[in-house]
Amino acid sequence: MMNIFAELKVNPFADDVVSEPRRVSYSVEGLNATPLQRLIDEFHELTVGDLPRKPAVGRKARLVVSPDRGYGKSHLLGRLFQALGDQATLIYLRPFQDPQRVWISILLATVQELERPNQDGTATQLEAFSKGVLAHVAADQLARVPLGNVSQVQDAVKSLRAHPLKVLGQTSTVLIRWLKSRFDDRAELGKLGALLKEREINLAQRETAWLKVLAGYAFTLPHSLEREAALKWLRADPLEDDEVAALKLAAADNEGRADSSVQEINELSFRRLQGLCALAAYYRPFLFCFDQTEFYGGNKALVDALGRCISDFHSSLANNLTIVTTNANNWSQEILPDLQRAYQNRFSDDKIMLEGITPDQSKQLIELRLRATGAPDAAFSEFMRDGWLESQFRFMPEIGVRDLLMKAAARFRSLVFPGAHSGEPPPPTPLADLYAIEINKIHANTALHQYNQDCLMWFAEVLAGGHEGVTIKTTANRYFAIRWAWPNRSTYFAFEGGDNNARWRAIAKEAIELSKSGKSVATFVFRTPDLKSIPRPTWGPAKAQVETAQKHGFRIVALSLDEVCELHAARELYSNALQRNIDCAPAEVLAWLKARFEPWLKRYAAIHPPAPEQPAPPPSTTKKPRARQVVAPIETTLSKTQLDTVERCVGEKMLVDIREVLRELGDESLQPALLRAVETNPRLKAHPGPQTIYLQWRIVA
Amino acid sequence: MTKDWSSSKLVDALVAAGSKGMTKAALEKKIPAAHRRAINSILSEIKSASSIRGPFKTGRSEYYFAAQFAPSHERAQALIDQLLRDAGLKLTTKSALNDRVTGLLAPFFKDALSSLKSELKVLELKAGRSTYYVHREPVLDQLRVTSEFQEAALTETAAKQPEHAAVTLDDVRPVYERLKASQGGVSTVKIYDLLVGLDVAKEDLHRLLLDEARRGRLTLHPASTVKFPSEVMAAGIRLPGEPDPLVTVILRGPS
Repeated sequence: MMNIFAELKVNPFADDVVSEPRRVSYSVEGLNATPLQRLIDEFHELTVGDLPRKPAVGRKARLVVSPDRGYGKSHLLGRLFQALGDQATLIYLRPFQDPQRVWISILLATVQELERPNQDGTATQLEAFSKGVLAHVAADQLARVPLGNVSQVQDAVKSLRAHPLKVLGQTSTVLIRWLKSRFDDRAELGKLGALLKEREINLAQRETAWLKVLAGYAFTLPHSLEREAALKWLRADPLEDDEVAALKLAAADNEGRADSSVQEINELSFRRLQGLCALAAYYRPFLFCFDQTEFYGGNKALVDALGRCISDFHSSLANNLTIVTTNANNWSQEILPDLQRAYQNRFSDDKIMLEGITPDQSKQLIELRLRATGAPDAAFSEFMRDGWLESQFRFMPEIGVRDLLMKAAARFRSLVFPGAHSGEPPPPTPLADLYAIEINKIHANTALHQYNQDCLMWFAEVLAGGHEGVTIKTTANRYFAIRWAWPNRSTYFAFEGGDNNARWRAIAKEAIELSKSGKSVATFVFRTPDLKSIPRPTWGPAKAQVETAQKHGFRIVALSLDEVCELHAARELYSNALQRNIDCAPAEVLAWLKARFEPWLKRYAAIHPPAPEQPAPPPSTTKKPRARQVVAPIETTLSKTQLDTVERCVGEKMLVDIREVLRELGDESLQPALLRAVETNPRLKAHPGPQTIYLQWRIVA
Repeated sequence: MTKDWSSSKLVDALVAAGSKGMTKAALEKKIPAAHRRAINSILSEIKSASSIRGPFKTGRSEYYFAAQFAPSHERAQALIDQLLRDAGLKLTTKSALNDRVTGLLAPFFKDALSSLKSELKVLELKAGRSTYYVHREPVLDQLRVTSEFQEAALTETAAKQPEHAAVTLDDVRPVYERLKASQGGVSTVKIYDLLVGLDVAKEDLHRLLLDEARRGRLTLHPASTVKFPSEVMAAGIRLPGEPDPLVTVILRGPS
């Protein structure tokens, strides 16, 4: 008799961890419905009344507690994202690494999240936010013009308020031209700024700058100079003169200074977040979700920084719901003891506890999982036979959902290989395989290909610990914040994701000063593929300074996409161990990763000879352009024909190795583009494995 | 005499007052005259220890409660549950229900009703423009459906027999609430801490917890995300075929 389970290419229950809430595809009816509803209701308290609303401040953070691992914290966040949709600006935050740079980290992550697609899929969250805010500002202004009571004007105001994205989404409408003309007129712009103040929107005297920056983003194309400059300003980076001019900002609005200290950048980052949250009163509230908090456990400085951060969210950031997820025992044993009482009081008294899965819900989940992998209808009853499900609940009416999935995965294996593993736990998955799966997961998640200061700092601070007798110290330097010290030599790391020439000149200058400290010194700054290469070809003195520094052991390390994925995967794997998402102790995982990254550590521990002289570029024969051109990154996308091929190939086979799909496309270099297409296609799902990534055709909507 | 006075006496008074709570003025009378002027700081201190909740304002009065008796989502849920059980098969309108959930529980009404609906404990029925509610138990009873709840009810009766007289859920709850409050309101409490607080035999407590877990009054959990000391793990419940002991417990709703 044919074994129907052996026909399936993957174990339908193997995927039991949600690492990206936006990927949550389905959920079991009723499971954690109450916690979800409570969060939705709490969020809706922020959306009471017509826009623009009064700023809502002083809301305590919501702690979502899982009784043990695997009760669906990240899954709940995914469902909350889906339920709130475009009513909220959704921000998912992974752990920060440096207590001194908390707001820098949160702001960078926030801007990256703002650049992700809006829930309605039309544009980015930031485009929706900026147009939404500007529409209501325009409506406020229109309602006040002398002809404000004329019915046509009243209709325009109503239309703007009711459909801000639709009205400002069109190109060259009268309204957009009118709005832009307000920004060009200093007096009118001042009036718009005054309207914000009247509505109690406190932007620390930068009202007009915020309006210009939002307009610079809202009404321009992706990768345009204006849009890139707006993003830089929002990230609290200093702007170049041409960027200031492109946004029509006053010099004083360019608050990011090239020579700012970490504390100053951190403070400015906080003010930017304050501004974003304040302006949310004009459109929609923010939802900030702090996940993977186990990372902070046992580190007093990080726990204190988390507490201070939540306290500041409560007291100083308006119009948002802050959610912190945790495992109960990690919270009570590793975080709470180090959390000041005043910070504890910034969490709502009423903790939201996650629920276990019941037998009826389990049936639904198992059926969904089997069906999603193309199992025939008979598979479900076959799977359930001999009272298997009842035996899982013989002691308790509910259990953790991951426990159920793990038991179902074991049951599946025993059905594929009858007698082979019955009753025995499966052999543990080797760490190398778990790491390889994690790398493939990162490859399939383009949001994690971006610059991430926390991940780089984790590498330099945690992963390097114990390497060749190194002592790792945080320094008081302005830029080179981490030092690997040996008796006769040092390696320093700076963390800079911007491309401001004055700041890079200052970084290079500090590298030169460190090299003159007497010992052998190497200095490094990492760059990821999404960032502009440094030094920029148009730079003058800054380029010369960088080149001089390179003769003194300074290196700008351009990480490849594969290297970025490896680093992210390492931190995610460690985080998984801390959360017990994998069956390995955190110390064991860290030791394995240290060995795995030994070549990296050696590379940066060595003192490098001076960089060879770069040949001077040939003199340009064309006239130097007056304004800097922003070149869009080369990002291949699949054509319509290629997409059809992918859908046909995956749809026919239901589950297929990505390499097979790439062969069908005839070009293996299309893998990143293919993965990006999978991310945005609701009918396709990527299943990263240790050797490859499988693509699945989704039957369940 | 006042030298020996401790603010914990206020907590005791609030526990004794139960769900009625006490006004600030009444609490003030429990404080020796020499300390009365410091009432605000005394209340803040015990409030920050999560032992009491308040003030809850109603009219001009400010009420305080012991943490376990404070107006909450769970208490509102329990009240609605009881009202609908008492109504049997008689349909209750939303407004009639709302009228019964008054005072400090009123703000929790909407959420509590949603929770009961999502937990399928109450049924929502519509006729014309009106919405009615009925508890599912009388409905199941009418349909003569043998449900897990009927079984639970039967075992509940059995549980009242003296076989578990060594320790009951009523004994456990005050200790549990105190431990929960001491960890900032996180309701996952170690069985080890309950054993220490109750001073009962491990086997008696384990038997009670397993029985009550089957009835759905509490849930039991392993503790796989932190490394507890061996005595904490040893106090856990080992189930046949399960690799990890159940080390923590969550009690549901007020008794």
